[in-house]
Amino acid sequence: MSSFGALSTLQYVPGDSFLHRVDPRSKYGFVASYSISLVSSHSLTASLIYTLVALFLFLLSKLSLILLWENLRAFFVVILILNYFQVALNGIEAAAQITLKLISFILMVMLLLSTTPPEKQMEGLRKLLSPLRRLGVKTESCAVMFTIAVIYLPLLMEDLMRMMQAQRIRGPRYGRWNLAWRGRDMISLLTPLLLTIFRRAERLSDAMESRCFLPGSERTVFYQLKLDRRDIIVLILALLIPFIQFNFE
Amino acid sequence: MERKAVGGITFSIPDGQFAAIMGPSGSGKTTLGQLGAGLFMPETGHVYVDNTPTNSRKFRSEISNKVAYVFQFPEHQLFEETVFRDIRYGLRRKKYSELDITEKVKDAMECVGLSFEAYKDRSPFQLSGGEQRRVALAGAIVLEPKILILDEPTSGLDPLTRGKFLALLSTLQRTKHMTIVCITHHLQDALEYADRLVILNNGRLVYDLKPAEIRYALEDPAIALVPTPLLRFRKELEFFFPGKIDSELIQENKLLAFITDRLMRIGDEP
Repeated sequence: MSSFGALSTLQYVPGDSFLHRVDPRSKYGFVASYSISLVSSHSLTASLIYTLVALFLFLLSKLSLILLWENLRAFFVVILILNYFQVALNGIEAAAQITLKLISFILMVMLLLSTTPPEKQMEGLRKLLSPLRRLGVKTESCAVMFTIAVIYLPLLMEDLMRMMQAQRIRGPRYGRWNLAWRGRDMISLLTPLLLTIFRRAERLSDAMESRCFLPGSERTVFYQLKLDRRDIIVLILALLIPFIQFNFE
Repeated sequence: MERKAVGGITFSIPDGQFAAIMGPSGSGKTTLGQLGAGLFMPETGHVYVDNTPTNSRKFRSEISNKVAYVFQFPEHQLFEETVFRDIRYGLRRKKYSELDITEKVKDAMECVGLSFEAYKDRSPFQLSGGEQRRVALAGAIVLEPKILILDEPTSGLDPLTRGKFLALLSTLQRTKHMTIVCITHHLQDALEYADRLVILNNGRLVYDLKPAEIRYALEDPAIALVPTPLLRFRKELEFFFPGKIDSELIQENKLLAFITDRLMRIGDEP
């Protein structure tokens, strides 16, 4: 009955598909390579192929179509605005290209986050960033921050939804297209939302400190990541994507 | 992962009744309350509020005129800079004049025990939990709804404030003839103030009974309801005075009156 719309993207959906079993490091590598190649592609055909690849991976993930619809629906307005400017400035082909690129990118991020549990996301990121420790970068803290952001964003969305419900129940709406009032209502939610964020952050930091969490210290993990043949294939594919594109274009 | 929160529930609440919705955590109490307030639309079935279906978007304004909902956590309900602005939020949408708004806000604040002058310019975020709940309640009753739905309104309140808050609800029910639906975990509060208990389990309605009939639910092992000290004491009394204990004897005042009466009789005996 309730849904977090675009925020469903950031929530892990348990499953046992091929994508669920792939090592998070391979997934990060593939998504990074895919995204860079996608952004640097200049032809409509290439964009279409990238979209088809993303759709094929979506089918492999066995995620529900409703999730896909919820995510794309949330970005509908953004895509529409971008299309308007693209058609006006660069023509219909450019608009189609930007639409395909956006859909492919959203789909890929959704697949990455929906098929990887937060603890594996964190561990994968930590392992990937570990070489940077030699340069003095606090990779542990970065990984923790990223994971907390991913875990807590849906909760914040839930808070926001409750506040919006509270507004809705306390009087008639001025209509969907009364943007001035809608904007005013949204702005009035900023203060309580910020307060909620700070309160949650404070409670979380207290809870972490009470469990002896030391920022930046090396940590042991419950999930031991291990690259197998499947993950190596995904990594090789990730490396091949830019080369294939470079040869075609 | 989606799961069915509530299903197969059919019941109606007559005007002016104080109904308590109870059940273990995750049994669907909040969802049922939100369905009643029109915050959710049921996937199947119908919810009617005063003969108005909540399923349709076109009746949304009508529903929000009739139902007020007080959330479990007042911080979800307070969003304006001052207490006055927060309480008047709904009234401004209904396009009342500023004079009427001030008058109504003042009445609502005094009704919930908040001094208008002392609180009107304070930030709702700097108030204590009990005060925040009162502001949230004032924001709801200022709209003069026919139905007031409260989601665990007394959680986190000290016993004294809790008692005062429930007495306030009881007064609202009597004086304004408001229908009150209170979602609660406190069995004794429900027995003291409610006219009816609606007990849910796993998203289904399992008992819909008068407070005096609570023993049926207590005897059911599937329902995680723990008898209150008063109910346990009543059971002991039933053991000593078989057949002489009235089934209505589930409220503190009635029990005290019963004991006093018994003691007086003992005192009168030669």
